[in-house]
Amino acid sequence: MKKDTILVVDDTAQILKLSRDIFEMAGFNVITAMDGEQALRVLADEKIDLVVTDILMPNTDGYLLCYTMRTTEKLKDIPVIIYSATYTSFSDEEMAMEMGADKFIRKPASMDELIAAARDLLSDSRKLPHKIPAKPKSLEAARLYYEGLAIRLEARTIELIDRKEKLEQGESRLNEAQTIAHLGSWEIDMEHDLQHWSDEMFNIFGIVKGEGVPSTELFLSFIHPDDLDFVSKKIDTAFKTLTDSMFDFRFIRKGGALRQGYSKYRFEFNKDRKPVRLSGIVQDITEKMQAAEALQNAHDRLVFHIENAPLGFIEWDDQLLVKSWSKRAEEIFGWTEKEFVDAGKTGYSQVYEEDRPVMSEIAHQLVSGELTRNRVQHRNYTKDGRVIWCEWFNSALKDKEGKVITIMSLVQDITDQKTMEVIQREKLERLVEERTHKLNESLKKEKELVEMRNKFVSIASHEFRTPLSTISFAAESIRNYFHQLTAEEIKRKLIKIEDQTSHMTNLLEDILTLGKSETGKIKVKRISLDLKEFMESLIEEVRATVKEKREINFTFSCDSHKVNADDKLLRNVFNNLLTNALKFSSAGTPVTIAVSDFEGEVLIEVADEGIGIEESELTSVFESFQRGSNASAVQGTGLGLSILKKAVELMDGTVEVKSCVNKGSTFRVQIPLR
Amino acid sequence: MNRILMVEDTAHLSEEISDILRLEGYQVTIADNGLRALELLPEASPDLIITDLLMPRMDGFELIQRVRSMASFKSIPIIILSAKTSNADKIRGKEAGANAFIGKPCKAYELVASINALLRHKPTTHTRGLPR
Repeated sequence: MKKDTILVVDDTAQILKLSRDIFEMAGFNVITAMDGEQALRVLADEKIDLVVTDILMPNTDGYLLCYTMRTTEKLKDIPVIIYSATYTSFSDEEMAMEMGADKFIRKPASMDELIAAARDLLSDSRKLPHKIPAKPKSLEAARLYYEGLAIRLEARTIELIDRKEKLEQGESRLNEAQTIAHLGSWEIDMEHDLQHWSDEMFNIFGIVKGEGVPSTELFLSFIHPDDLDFVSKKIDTAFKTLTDSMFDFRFIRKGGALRQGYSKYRFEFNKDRKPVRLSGIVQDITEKMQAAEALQNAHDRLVFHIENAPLGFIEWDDQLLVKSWSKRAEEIFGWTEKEFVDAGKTGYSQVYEEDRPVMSEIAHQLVSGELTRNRVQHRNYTKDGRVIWCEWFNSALKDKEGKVITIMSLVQDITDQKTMEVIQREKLERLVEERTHKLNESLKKEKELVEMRNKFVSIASHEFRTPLSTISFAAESIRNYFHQLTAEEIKRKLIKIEDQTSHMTNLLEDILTLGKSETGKIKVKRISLDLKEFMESLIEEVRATVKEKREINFTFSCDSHKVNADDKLLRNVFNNLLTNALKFSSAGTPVTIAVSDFEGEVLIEVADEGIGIEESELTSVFESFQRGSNASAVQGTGLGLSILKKAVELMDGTVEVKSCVNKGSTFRVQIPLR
Repeated sequence: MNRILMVEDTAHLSEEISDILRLEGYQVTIADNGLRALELLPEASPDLIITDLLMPRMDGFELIQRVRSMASFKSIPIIILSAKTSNADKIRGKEAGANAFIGKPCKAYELVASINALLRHKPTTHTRGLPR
């Protein structure tokens, strides 16, 4: 039997080879061509019984080949099978029939179908002549169609290539993303009980792909023993209830590191609501948890600091309405955050009226962004209506564009501090006042002292002038009237000069004593002496200087005559007392001296019946140059009593006076002399 | 012989002055205070008075005023001889009616010259001192 020859036309070498093998096995001769043009050349030379052609080919495509054959007398009866790619449309098949094709078979078609179609056409072709396409379209039309098709195909091809690349890219990106996120994905094919893990799943548990077979058991082997029960139950429940869910768990990575994991999964069902797939993810959230924990910690600490700081913390919006108000702010102002907000209060209304303009200006500058930071002290109201002093540290928080987001304030109650300041200031003022007063006092005293010194100089000079006069006159007499004077007279004048010189020496010594005692230069030198003898000899001395005969009564009633005393000071004291008593009383009156023991000390009383001292002057008479107002007619320096008082004080004693004008005075001197 | 009444409470000084004045040819009467001076005045009938200022019982200022108020002595020359030498004392003394003021201590010839001068140009009448 003669073999039929089939011409297979396709631009793909593999298809040509495959087709050749199939048709040859089916008992045909096979000739191949790479495109329509080549096919037409073969058809011109060879006897071909059947053509099997692809549509899309270079140079001349399947349609044109078909059309050319149908319009060529020699070839018009050769049957043609169009064997085309899957993406060809129904209109392509219609087009093929129009061009005169006998059969349109879509790729991929089974080889049996193709061979059956070939045999069928070969048997038919002997009986039925092929007709010329009923309404053949012009070649030009076919070409236009072809071009349009080519363009469409090209676009389609590009699209497909693009899609494929994207798919590949997507897959590698997914892997990358999984690695970065420590997120692995897994799925269970429930129909075939197959489990698949992504690469990252293995990474998460510290193993490499192939080190274990993806399974629920493998997953459970990494779970922390304490969480194992819980996780097992969770999985059981999931399969029983077929409910999507999620859970956190701890797991131990290969190598021993304790990590925190998270899993989420979802069931997929088919049309019959039968579960076919369970897919899920596992994520290592250790870092995330640690970060969250650290953040929580930081937040907790910040809150702790804010709540426990001595400063209140307040956040305001641009209308100075409270956004946040710390516990300390509550303690300072009495309002809770809610109370403050509910009362419709603003930062303005809370400020003491007088301080409001200053505070308003600052707030305006903060809100407008002119001022970023500010520190101010002003008064505020508390809930119970008190006015307190506060120190505010305000700052404007700005976003990246410099727009003010919020005003933050730290506030401190400084009322106590302010009160202290006031107290301190008042204290200081009082101190200054006191000092000034003291200064004025000492200035006054200084002035008095200067006056006293001036007076001292004046009186001292007066006291010196009288004896100086006597000396001067006596000396002059001797010189000028020497020959008129007797030897006796000259001798008397010389004695007088000596007397007055010694008087002046005493006066000088008095003044020096006073000066010394005032500057603390006198040292007390105690010696043992017989007080009674001492007094008696002193009385005789004084008596000798008085012109008139005076009655001086002396009584001594001490147990012991012996005393330890500075004789110079003691002499000074008695000399003064006795001289004064005589000086300020008239010749006919007596002067009494009584020495006795008193309170373990020696008491000396000197009394006269003289002119006395005014009561108002009883203390001033002891001051230097102060003399009784009724004493001007009596000669004196005004130094006697002040020297006496100093001397008594140097001996740790006391002196006081009782007196009555025109009746007399009694001086009481008490000195520790034992 | 001119007579001088000397009023001075310090005995040793009045003695010295009177010694000198006697040697200069004056007859001297001594009083140890103003009151005593007034007592002695009629009998002593002095041509000139020398007085101290600070004295017991009656001081010099009062004495001068009293003397100036007496008809027979209203013109008598009076010399103050005092250890009080401040300007205030000098003015007060002149106001009381003193003719001269000599401060202690002084030279004898200064006192004698003053006395001589006052006695030579002894005015016929004395005007009362300005009231205090």
